[in-house]
Amino acid sequence: MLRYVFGRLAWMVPTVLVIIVGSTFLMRAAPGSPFAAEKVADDQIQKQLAKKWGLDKTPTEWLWAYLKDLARGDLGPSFKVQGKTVMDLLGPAFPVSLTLGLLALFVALLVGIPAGFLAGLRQNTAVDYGSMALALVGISLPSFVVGALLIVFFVFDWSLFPVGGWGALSQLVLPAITLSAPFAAYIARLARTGVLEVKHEDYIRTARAKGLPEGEVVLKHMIRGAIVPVVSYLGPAIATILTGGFVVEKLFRIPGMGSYFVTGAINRDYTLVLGTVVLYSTLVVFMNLLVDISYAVLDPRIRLGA
Amino acid sequence: MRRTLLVFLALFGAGIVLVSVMFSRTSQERADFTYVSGAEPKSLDPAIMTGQLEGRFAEAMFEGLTYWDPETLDPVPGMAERWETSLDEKVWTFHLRRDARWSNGEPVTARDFHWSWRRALSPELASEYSYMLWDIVGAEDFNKGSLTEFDRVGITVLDDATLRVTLKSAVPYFLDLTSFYTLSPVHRPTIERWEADPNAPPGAWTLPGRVVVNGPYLLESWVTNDRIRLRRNPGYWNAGAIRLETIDALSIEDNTAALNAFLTHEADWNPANWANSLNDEVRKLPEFVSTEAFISYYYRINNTRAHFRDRRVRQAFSMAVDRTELVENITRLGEKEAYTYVPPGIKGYDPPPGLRHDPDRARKLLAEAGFPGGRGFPPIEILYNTHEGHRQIATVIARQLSETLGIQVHPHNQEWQSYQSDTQTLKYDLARAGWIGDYLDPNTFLDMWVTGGGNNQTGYASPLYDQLHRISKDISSFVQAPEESLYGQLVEGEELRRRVAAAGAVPEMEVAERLRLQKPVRMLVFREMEQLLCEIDCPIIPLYTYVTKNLVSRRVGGFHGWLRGPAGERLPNVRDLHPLRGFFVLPRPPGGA
Repeated sequence: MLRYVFGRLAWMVPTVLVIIVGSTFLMRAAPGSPFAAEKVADDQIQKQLAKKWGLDKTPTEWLWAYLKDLARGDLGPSFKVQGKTVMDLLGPAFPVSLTLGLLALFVALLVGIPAGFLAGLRQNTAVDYGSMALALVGISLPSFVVGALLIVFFVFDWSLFPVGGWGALSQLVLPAITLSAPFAAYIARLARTGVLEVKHEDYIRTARAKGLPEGEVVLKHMIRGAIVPVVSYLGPAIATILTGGFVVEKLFRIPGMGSYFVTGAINRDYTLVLGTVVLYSTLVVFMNLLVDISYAVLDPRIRLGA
Repeated sequence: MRRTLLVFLALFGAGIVLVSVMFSRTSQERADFTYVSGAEPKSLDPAIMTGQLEGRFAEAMFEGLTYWDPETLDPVPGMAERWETSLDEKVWTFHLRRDARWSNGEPVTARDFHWSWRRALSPELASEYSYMLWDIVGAEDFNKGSLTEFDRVGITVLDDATLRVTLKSAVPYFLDLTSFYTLSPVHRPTIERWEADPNAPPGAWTLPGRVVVNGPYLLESWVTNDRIRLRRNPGYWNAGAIRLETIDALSIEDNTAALNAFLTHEADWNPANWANSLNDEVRKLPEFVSTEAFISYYYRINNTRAHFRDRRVRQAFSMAVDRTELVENITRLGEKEAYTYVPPGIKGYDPPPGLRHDPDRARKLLAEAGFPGGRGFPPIEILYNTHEGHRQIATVIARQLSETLGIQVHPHNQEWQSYQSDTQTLKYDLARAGWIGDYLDPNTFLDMWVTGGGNNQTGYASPLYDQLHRISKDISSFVQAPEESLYGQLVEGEELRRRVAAAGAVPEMEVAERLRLQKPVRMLVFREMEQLLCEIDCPIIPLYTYVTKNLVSRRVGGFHGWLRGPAGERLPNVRDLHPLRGFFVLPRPPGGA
């Protein structure tokens, strides 16, 4: 098991490296530069600017210098928020996104799993149709619609919550709900599928035959098998929810990571783009590892490192 | 199962711990005044920054020789308490106030200006706005690296309190330049200390706790993606006139979130950060303030494309566009149709009429150029950066051009960076553009069209235009030795000849009177340049003049949508400049909330 984990961790390095190299060349191939401006500076000034920021190097030379800095744990200066390093930008933003993301994920699990289980156990009843219809709405409605609707009702009509910002618990409620909606819906559907799959398995029949009460059958035996699809979804979901809350973070003015992914790319803030790429790819690879480990914990049929 | 539960509980527990850690910082009390700043500032270094939102911070934190009075936007004494000029207005001597201090207590001296301007001009700094200093003798050469001895640049320290500046020629707007942030002094020891640190990124000295300022406000905190807080600088020489203790500048990129912040009273001022599609709703709000702006919206024509080389084609295009439809049906905030490029609002400048909407003449010109009814004219594209408003305008203009001229025109959008790259490398037929004036003088709109100018981006190259531009830069030498060959090529050559003769007839002694007579000559030269630009050569199609858009809470004062003119008249604040130093909170009406 330990060998398996270390092996996987060792593979992380080349994986992330390949992603960095690919991103760098894609990014440098895109037209524009961090200093493209509507008012074009004199040629001489532009040359100096490129020199000052190391953009007079070829992409390969630039990448090599970047990797050397990265090895020292230095993500470089931001081009577009001068005076701050990429670390200065991502450092405080990460825990913000993490807090919001975990909260949203918790809400999603709290709503999604019971809803999915109920739907699966009461297949083809009003409960099933009702919760699956809701789930469909949750998946289909983009978060800028959900968020905007919540703002209209809870901020402007009923004045229950502040419209956004960061610093008070009340400011977390609406963004957490908005962010959790599609995940809750997806989790409900996965949980329902999981229940339907294990419902007719032999070991469930055995449990029933042993004379276990229905509640115990569900809680002890069914959940364990039925939750596997949800768990395998959690890995990428955590990575997405932590970093993909772009729309929600913008709408509710959360000082998280989301905006750096998009504005970094739009502004051609090369170091910021790579910083987010490094962080995100590491996170995805790591989460997938956690998920694979948790399979072994959850499903007795899976043994790692065999 | 129990283990699964444990995992969930652990996750939730971690969340709770994080939340409590995040919010354990004592949450800040509300600032006296809060406004929507927009995107994150690209830099707080006044010599590096180029944008309006950055400029607001610079004007709050740093003070130049002069600054703009918020009520009039006239330059008034700042670090310099008085100044005098030589008779030909080329040599300026500034006397610094003795009570000016940096926020660490050190005095602000003429040496600070000398060092700061030298820094702004140094090729290594690569300041994009360094050209603001190029009117000074030798400055441009030093900036471009062809002059290495700074002693030969016209910036001289006479003593700690006296700075002498020598200009290449009289610059009527020079005090607007000394009020501009690029010419602010910066604190040498702080910058040198941080630049010596190999691990500090460029601009590291501008962060809170490090930066030393000389303006009305100190930089208290900067939380990226949240807010920048400014606090009154008690050591500022005129601190008594500053009425707000704290100012919060909210960093909000999303237009909806920005509007919501204003509507929920979190922000007291929102300078135009909302979706254009909401203009109709926003303009109904009692807090909405709008005036004409010093910004032009226009289309560039790619003069290097074979079918656009004939200026009759370009004239035809300009005459085929019905600007009235644009401002009445699309922009709808009171924008003015533009037939010339320099926006109205410059005292003493009378723009030429430009080419009016005239479909019949447009068709005739196009036929004369060899494309009767548009036959033989290749299909063309209108390039614009992705934006709802630009799309609507491009669609209407495409329809107008094809209906009037019989040409196939297709709007084509690109993401901002690609659009800029294609415009600069002349990979377009027509391209949408906008230009914001830096100072109230036609030069800020007209000097960009010289042959090979970095912002020309049309391929327009006219020896006559270049010659007029050179003359406008040094009008006194032109008046002394006018180029006779010029008059015949001009639309109003006779008028110019008369004016030049009048200005030259003044006896040697009356220099001031001569300068007074030279100013209209300069304006006439600009008028000729604009005639070439908008009536004769037409490398561009002017479309309309922007309006300023602001939402200002009733609880604050000091916002001036209209300025007080010299005779007490109301002038529109066309530059949309609202220095933070001018804002204050109005006293509450008794019993009111």
